[in-house]
Amino acid sequence: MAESLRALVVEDDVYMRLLLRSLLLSLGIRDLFEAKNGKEALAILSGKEIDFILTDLSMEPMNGIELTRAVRHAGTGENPYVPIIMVTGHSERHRVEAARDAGVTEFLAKPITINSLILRISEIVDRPRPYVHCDNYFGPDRRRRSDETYAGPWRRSSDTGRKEGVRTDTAASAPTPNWEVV
Amino acid sequence: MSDSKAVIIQPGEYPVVDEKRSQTLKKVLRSPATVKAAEMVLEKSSAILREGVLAALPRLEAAGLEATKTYQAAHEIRGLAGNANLPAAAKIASLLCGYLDAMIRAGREPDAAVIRLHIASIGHAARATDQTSILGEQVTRELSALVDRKLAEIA
Repeated sequence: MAESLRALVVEDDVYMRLLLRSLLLSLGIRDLFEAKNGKEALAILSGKEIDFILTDLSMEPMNGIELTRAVRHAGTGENPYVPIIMVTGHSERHRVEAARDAGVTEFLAKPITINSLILRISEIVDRPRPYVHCDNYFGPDRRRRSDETYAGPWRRSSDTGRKEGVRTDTAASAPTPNWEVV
Repeated sequence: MSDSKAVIIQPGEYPVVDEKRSQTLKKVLRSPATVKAAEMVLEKSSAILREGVLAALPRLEAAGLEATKTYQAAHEIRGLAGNANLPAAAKIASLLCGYLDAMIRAGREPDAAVIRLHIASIGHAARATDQTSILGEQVTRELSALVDRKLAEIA
């Protein structure tokens, strides 16, 4: 049997953890590790190679956003590029934005559907995202939503020549947006 | 804000899932049998998740008018209720979370009647056996309008 992906499920609710575990197993992802909070997750990450993390947002101690920040700013022993799928029932915009800015790769909204779970896993495997490293952010490229009104600041080397206050106008060639929590 | 340029690191410049495992996974995920098996897992899990909702209800009902505790319990319920085939309970819990979150962020005291109405409705919706009840939809609509009015007052 082929080697499976290694996934880490981080969820404090026993019922939801059981559901996620069962769903991943049904999708052929057999190498599963489980943690009840961010602290437990970090302990697992320090000793295992994990292909992706499926994490809840609200947990104690160390919630999903704090875990994401810790992973993205990890030392040399851990993989700061590991894809993180945040499973969340939070519909409040400020929480989703905070998670995105911490470096979450994908969002999976509750209630969970099979299609959305497969889509998120396929995204991280088929279309791994470029990472951005700048003074105040390290994580997956956040410019996935085409924003015709975006007018800077232009901080990337590929942005050379762009002027502050001038729109991007690259919407037609922009990648598929997927920051909406669906 | 700093003027320094951002560095872009492309996949491959950092470790990604190797081709062999990626291909294996793709094959599995595209298989109708896999999707069917996963759908069955989801369907079978709803009864267990409903137990989770019912276990969380006493915490919600005991939280009283304490906004943070009520938010936490309502959030737990909205997370489970959708996959437990309790759509009305999920929706009402989500309305309550949205209302409390807005009030907490605005530094305002939540309206006790709004909290009580939502908690009672979540309890009824989660314990009801008929989840397609028109009454549930009406209650959800009325509570949604109530939350909109209350939040408009603090806007």
